[in-house]
Amino acid sequence: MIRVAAVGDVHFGQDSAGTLRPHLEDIAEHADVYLLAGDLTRLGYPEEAAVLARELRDLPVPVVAVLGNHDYHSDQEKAVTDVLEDADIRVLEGEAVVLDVGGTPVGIAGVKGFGTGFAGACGSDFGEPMMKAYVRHAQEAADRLGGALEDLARAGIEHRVALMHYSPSEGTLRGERLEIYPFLGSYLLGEAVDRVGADVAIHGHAHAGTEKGLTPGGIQVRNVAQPVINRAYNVYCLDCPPEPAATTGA
Amino acid sequence: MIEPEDYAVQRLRDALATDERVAEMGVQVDVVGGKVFLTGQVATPQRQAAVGTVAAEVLPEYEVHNQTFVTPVGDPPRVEKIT
Repeated sequence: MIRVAAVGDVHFGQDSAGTLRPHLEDIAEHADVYLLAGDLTRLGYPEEAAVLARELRDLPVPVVAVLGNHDYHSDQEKAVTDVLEDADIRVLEGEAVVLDVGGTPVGIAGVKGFGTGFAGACGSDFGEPMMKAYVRHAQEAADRLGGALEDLARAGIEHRVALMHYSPSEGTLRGERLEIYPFLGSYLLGEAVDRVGADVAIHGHAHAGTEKGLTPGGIQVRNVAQPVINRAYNVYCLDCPPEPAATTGA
Repeated sequence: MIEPEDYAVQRLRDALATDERVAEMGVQVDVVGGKVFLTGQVATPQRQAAVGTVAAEVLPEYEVHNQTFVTPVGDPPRVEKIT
């Protein structure tokens, strides 16, 4: 059994100190790993990342993260990453990490991702240079995610989690305005997950969206943006033992 | 010329996203009858207050109703079986 705790969009700033840690003290009772689905900071300052790093220091479970668009705002994403990694928070961008959970390997493949929209209503690699750059950035992100998942599959890692900031599915965007879907996610991410396969795809970014959805290929998707789950994390159980059958009184 | 309300809404939305006191993209802005209503969630009480401050600065001619709330994080996690 692998218990994956996840949250996104914590948007840490100097005013966030002490808001999260009290709710993580017993995380080992609930989870084996803690995933952060991007937008870890407010403005992408390393000083904001340092507040979060102090909050997560010496947690009893491994912490794995991707960055989000807020974490890029100040063009200091490398410094943000360094601050987090110095606190033993593994930050993924087109890479995968394998964790040992009670003797069972579980792979986390992570990428920020990007928008473009969803099949039938999305941008194409055509026209002005900035339009092509927009779509190509999304394609490259999806390719990196697919590559990281392939690395895990080739290594024989059966339990795979795809972690990203932008959404790979329309289903978890329900509640958001339809007009902004192209800024919230991309079918290219879902296509990468479907091509290689994963137990679950986890993302944030869509604050007004919905927790549960599916990729077009039927893989479970969970939007863990904190304004959606309203908790320090939710837990997604992989390879769970069957629940006991309900009993009725004689 | 009086600024159409649509432009006022977007001017405030841009300010809420880019003003470093707030930096929130998830705040909904509605302008009705000379009043601006702000809804949605923010991460901290300080940012909730800043949302109202920025709105009053950007749209001083409107009456600001800051109905945002701070995202709660204290409830225990929900556990879901995926596979």
